[in-house]
Amino acid sequence: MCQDCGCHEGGKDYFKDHEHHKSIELEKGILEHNDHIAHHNWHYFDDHKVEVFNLMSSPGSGKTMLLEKTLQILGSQKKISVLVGDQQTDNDAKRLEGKGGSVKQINTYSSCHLDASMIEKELGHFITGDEDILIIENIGNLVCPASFELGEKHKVALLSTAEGEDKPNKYPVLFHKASVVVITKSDLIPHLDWDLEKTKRNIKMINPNARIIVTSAKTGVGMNEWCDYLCQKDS
Amino acid sequence: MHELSIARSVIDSVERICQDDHLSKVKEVTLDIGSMSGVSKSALMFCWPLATKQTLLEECQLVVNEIPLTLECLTCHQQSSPDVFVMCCEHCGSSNVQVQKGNELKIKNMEAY
Repeated sequence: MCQDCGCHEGGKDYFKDHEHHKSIELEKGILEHNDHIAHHNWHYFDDHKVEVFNLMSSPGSGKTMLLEKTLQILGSQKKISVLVGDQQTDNDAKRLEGKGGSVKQINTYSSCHLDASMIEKELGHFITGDEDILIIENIGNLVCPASFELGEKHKVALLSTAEGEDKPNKYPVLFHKASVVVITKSDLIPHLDWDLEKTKRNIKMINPNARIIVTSAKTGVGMNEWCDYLCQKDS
Repeated sequence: MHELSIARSVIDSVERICQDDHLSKVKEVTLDIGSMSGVSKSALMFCWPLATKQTLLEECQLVVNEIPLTLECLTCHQQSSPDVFVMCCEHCGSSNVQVQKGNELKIKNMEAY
């Protein structure tokens, strides 16, 4: 006999002929599990006083080149580790090796982003806790990495001059979440029909509080400001 | 296409609840997805039947409530719902605004038996 809907009434037992649903209100975060791991990572980094930066951008925006120069400049003053994410190959790790920090490649194969568990696996292993700075070079992608917290303290978006002025408007979620936007490849400006002020206005439309650092890893423009930011000298 | 990861997260959470509550089959799951969450409803709907195969959610209906962006202006205290994402009050033009709705990414409820 069913007490939920009165289906036994009328002397017939319909209980076997239909199912009783249970409706459960959840209000539960979809990425709760990832956020939980990210929270643990954050505490590990906070306890060990490691400044962690999550670098996100489209493929080819110059993340690895920026990091090569960064390690060459800061490597002798700071203990820096770099986790490099790509779907395949360890090309980026090879480029960064010997430049002034510890480097490890993470290959995600089919996945288009890094998640918190991939960083957690490295705690106590590749990440020893005595680093001053950990830089996570996320998968080159302007959409998916923005949804996954890694436990980082700083989200940094890179935007190369060759990508045009309106990338922040086209991919607002990532640019909205970044506290710093690094404009890369500024050495190309004379060769491009590209307007710095327009780009800055577009970034501010999406993220009014974003700090913008204009760099060229090739010529060295803006590299001091970028490195000071990594060392949190002026924040 | 991180929607497959999103679908898997939903499935994992719901299956865990089913285990705890001794439920054997899920009929319907309702999600709230904000327009600024970075998740596409159509991509999620596309991968849902495949992701739920051989789980307690197989043939479960997925309902997605799309939550539009709502900004609250901290200068004039009015609300805006711009179609395109801009951190700007539609009423007074101030950029001193905060996202009130649109970041949602949650499982609202489920029906199971």
